[in-house]
Amino acid sequence: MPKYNPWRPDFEAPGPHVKVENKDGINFEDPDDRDPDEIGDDDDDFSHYRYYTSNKILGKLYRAIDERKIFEDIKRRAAHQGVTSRSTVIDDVWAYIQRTCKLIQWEHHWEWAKDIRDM
Amino acid sequence: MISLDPRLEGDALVLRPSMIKFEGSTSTDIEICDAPYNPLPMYLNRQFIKILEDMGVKDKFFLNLQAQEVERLRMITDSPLNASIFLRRQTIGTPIHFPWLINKLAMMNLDFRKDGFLRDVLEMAILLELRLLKHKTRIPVEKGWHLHGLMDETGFLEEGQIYCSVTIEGKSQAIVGKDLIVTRAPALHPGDVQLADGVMPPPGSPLLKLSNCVCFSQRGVRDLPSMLSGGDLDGDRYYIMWDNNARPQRVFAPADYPRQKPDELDRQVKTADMTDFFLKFMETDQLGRIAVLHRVLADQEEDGTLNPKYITLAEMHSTAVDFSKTGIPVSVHSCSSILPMLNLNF
Repeated sequence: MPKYNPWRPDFEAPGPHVKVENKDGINFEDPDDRDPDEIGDDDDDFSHYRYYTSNKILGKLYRAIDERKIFEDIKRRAAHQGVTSRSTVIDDVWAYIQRTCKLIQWEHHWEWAKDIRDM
Repeated sequence: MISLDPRLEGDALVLRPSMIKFEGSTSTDIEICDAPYNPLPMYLNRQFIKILEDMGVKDKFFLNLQAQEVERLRMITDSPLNASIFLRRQTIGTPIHFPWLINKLAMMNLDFRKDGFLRDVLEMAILLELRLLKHKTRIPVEKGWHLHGLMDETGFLEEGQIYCSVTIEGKSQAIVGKDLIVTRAPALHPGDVQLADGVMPPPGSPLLKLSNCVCFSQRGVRDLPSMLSGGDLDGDRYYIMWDNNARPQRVFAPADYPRQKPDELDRQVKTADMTDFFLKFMETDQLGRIAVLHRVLADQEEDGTLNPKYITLAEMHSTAVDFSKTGIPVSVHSCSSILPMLNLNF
């Protein structure tokens, strides 16, 4: 089965665990000179692609986002609000519900509600 | 596709011959699948960005737009209101009223971020958006809409003009200006992005009654929708963008693919026809591969999407898109002479 061009721009990489090679000096039309055993089968696996740093805008946009760093930032901002080891939100909500439902007879629905939940 | 024409008197529904798909029905029911109550937001994708780059739009425009979106994502955890608006827009947890819950908790003076689970849900939703932004380059365009296309029945619009109007929270606004960017997905051919002038119809014009749509001129040699990878006006949506920072330096001639004549069947359709069609479709469906190949190869040539080889790929893509309507599969073998170095093996 003939192979087509194995080179792909970095922004097509399926995830962060991909080795990106520098494009300089690479001729895209070079025949593949790697060990054929390394290339693997021609299935839909990404493994036989090689990735290069694209200098076009799509490559620049791709590299402009450091998802790890941005996500750490976002987490840090959220954590700023102060998280205690044990959340009290659910306790407060429960207290609120009990207060609000004080005048409502609901205990006799208990079994029925359980059935619905376990359905 | 039905639109409002206030010039009609009484209760009238006017159909074009092309809108009549099945003759002989006596039913007077009309079913509406969808109506543009709100204008849809516009997102740039890799295909548009590649073509806009080849049209000479500066890198800075895209980088700024993307940075703006990253900043927006950063701010979402800053307040319960931001978080709840974001989740509602992404329709995350709406069946269990999650966005409402966050607001309700805030009203009770409870910070949802103090609950590990609630915070994780929000952070996961943000991470998902961030990954879409990076790995699909799906960038929202504030000054852009994604709207249904209509024909200007009044004949007011001249060639190269459009009328585009949206209604947001009860307020109508028209998009007026020179050289608005008009495009449609999929866009692989460099001519799939065109420019048009947004104009305002005169007072009293029936066009002013239309909203959340874009009207195209009926004048000129060729209609604009057909230039955008074979668009038409039976429910297609078009992208309109008016950001002044996106200034294309040049515009390319639209693609002009020969019309594909559909396979005609001069007898009743049998079950075997359907199964055959389905099998043929599975055998020849190469849409995704063509699109990926186009993206990869357009990145490797100086002239990008303008390279004649990729114009051929764009045409193959167009044929593949129309397969379900025409029954004509992409002929990869006829293209292998034009694309020898690719050694395409589908």
